[in-house]
Amino acid sequence: MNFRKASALILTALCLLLLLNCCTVPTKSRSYQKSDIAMGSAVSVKLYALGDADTEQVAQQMITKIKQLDTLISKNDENAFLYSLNQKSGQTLETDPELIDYIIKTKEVYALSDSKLSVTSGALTELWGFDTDNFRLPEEAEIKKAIPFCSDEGLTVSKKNLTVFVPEGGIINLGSVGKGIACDKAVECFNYSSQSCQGAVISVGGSIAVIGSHDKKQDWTVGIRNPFGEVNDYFGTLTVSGTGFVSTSGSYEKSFNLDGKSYHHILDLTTGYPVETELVSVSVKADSGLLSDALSTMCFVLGEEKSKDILNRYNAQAVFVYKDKSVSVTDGIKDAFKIVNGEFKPI
Amino acid sequence: MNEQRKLASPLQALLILLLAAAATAFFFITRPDRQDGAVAVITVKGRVVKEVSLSAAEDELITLDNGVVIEFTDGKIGFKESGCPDKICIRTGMLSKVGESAACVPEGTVISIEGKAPDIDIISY
Amino acid sequence: MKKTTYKIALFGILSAVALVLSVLESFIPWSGVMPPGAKAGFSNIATMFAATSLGFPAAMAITLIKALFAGVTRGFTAMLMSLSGGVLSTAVMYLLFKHTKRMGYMPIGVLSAISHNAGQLLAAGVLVGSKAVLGYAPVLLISAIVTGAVTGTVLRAVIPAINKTVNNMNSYEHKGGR
Repeated sequence: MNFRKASALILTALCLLLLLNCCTVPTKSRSYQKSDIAMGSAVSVKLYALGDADTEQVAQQMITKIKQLDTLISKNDENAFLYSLNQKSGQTLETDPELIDYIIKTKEVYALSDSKLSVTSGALTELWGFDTDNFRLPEEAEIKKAIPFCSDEGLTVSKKNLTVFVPEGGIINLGSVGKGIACDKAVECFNYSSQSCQGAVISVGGSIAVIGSHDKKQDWTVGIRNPFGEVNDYFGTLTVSGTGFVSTSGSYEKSFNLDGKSYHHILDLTTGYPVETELVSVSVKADSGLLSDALSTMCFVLGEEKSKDILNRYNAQAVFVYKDKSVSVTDGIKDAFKIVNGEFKPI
Repeated sequence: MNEQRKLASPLQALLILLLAAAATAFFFITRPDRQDGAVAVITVKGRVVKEVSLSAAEDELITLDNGVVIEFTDGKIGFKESGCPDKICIRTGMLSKVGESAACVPEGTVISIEGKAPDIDIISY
Repeated sequence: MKKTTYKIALFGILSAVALVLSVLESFIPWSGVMPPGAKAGFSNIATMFAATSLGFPAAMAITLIKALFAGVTRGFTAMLMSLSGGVLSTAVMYLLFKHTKRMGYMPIGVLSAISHNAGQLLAAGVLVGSKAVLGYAPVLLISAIVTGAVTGTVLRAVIPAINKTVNNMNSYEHKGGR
């Protein structure tokens, strides 16, 4: 080996490193934010970039992608692929490969829920009116009748043939994972963009995706909503490095009161009624938006104890918030999660 | 063989000058800024023992368990007394800008000025 | 003069010189001239000379003696700091002396000074359990370049003179032997 050259190289490298340091430190990244309504919820994307990357273009692309998703997975939009699938239940139908993918992935997660959750949950959710915001308390007989139609047992999906068979009377409902899928779409958009942005923050109705970095920081700070406060009030923060997805399921999202009793929108499909639990909200950090959405719902339904193994299996972490304002977090985010509101107490 | 070795070839001298220039630039660029809401964090052996808001109005003389005395006056903070032999910590002077720090290695004590806790980027609901 | 005797004598002299230089250095009122935490590093001249003329083990031994001396006079922390900086810089300078021919004294002095400070900063970071000490890095880097250049220059001036003396002594002995 030529040591003379090597040492000269080391010296030069040192110089370059220092110069590089000088060049990167003072430049501050720009940010661009855009908001819109899609999938029935507020969508906001914020992009960070150095140099001349066209953040506006990427933001626009993300929102367009999310809007397009509506025409794929919406249960109520007559032009959507999913709508037509549901209309023709009892037949084997060919459909969009992306939709097939979402159905398979969601079904796989909900298969771990002891039948408390399913992809084919439409019969019950429509009965309660949670999809259309026309809430009502169904008769017990109606609920009993609807329960059998909410099982995923008869649902057959073939990735190879691109076909879906929904048993007669069954209604596929991807509402519980739609926002997360939208986050996945936006992240995909970011990753394949010709513009080299530094990082982005995406919120689709409270389901969050963060990508990359911003300014000089590598970490993102995600606030977790105070279930007892207003929408923009948070009781804790979760630090996420690089890319991550966070979703929250809470009984406060959609609910109505009748005769002094409160009914929220997260149903236990084995009983047909809203889940009885001491939890008020569960936030899950996972590797994809679909997963964080599906798992947050599932953790809420199953409770902390039964959720742990499932979270482990998906390499996901969770924050459990109880009615008495006690808070429990999984081991993987013990350091990353901080309570910032003194009313809440860690378990 | 040693006699053949020079002090520095012109190229090497140039590189050293470049390095010095880069280091000086580095020094000026990384020079901290004054910032509102800055907090002085005092740690002993890596554990935070006290935080002092630099915007606090009252001056304070803080005596730590290890005998180190830290002075806070006019929004500036620094070591005042320490049992260490070199007194590097005291000579570092008073800190007031985010990113500055003073360390007393023998006593394991560090004062560092940190910006206020960053606002959150987004809320999950 | 026998070679081993010469070596032992030189080692003793260099160790003494290293200690004297570091003591002298501490007498100079640096405040105002040098940033806090930075040192002139004159004793490095002795270590560097040892590295060129006596080899790696001797240079390392002087570094250890220096660290012990710092421990006795200025405490345990000072010893650890001196040790971490000294070992790293001695290793770097020895490797450079051994494996390069054209690299001059000045760049070697600079690089070893930088590694000395880097080693110390590392030890300080570990000792206080905080990366906040990195705040000293830019200042230490600049001072390392300056002091390294100075020690390199001094060494360049000293080495030929000493070598000449040694050679003279040797030839003297040669003649006398006849």
